[in-house]
Amino acid sequence: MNNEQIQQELTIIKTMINKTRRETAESGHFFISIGISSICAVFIINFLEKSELHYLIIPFLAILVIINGIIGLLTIGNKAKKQRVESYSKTICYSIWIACVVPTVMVLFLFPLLKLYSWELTSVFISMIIGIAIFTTGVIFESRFITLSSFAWWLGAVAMAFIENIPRMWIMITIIFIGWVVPGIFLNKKYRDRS
Amino acid sequence: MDQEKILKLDPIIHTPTRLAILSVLVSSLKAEFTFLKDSIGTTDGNLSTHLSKLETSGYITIKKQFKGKKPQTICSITKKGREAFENYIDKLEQIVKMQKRANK
Repeated sequence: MNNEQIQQELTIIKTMINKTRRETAESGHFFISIGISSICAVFIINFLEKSELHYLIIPFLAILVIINGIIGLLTIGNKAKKQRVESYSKTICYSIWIACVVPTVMVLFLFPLLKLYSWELTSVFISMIIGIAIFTTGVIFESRFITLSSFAWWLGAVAMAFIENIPRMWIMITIIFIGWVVPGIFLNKKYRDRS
Repeated sequence: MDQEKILKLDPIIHTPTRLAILSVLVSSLKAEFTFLKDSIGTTDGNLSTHLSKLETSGYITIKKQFKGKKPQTICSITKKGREAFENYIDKLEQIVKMQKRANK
């Protein structure tokens, strides 16, 4: 086997792996859409708090979680129908997000209803959980930028727990934008570059 | 002595189409027949022949199912196939090293 043949074989391997990666690349639309809807939700919750309509917050969040859950499941189902290759990275990534959604729902609804902690701490715990999901997503997709953006969630959690002067709404919106929408745009750019 | 005799390459993998098939499957959980066909750029008949050869050798599994009303052929690599592919890459690396040493 000469050097030229070896190079040909290596080119085949590299080309096929790249084609597979292109086919299974994450478009980032999921991140961007959930990020924008979360920012809107934060504005609405703030409005309900200021209007002293606190009793509407939990039902509003419940509706939002259900709608987002349905949209998420439909999106995944639709993608699965079109998808011709299934990758380990995406399967693991979806599993991690599902594993993080479960404690998020518990933190958002179950524990506050049981009055285990004050309602204000909910956003702190949610930020910590989402930080884990973003961090692992970054590691799986080999994106240092996404991995580092998880620190925005953890730093935001600390800020929301300790800083009282800045309204929580603005901290939360900043975190969602830096730690969710921006990684989504980044993934989308990478996806378009690969296509 | 010929390097291939020392580092005998797996004859099942040592063809461009089968190497390409395994390269796709090693980097994915499973892949559809149509994706393999499009990315390799081969015909249905040719791809089927190579897939059968890999399946007979125990390197891949082929599952036929229906997606709605459309028939679908799903291929995935087996543990044996993954090991064989890794072994193949190792041998290629060794051949490159040997050639570099010989050139010196």
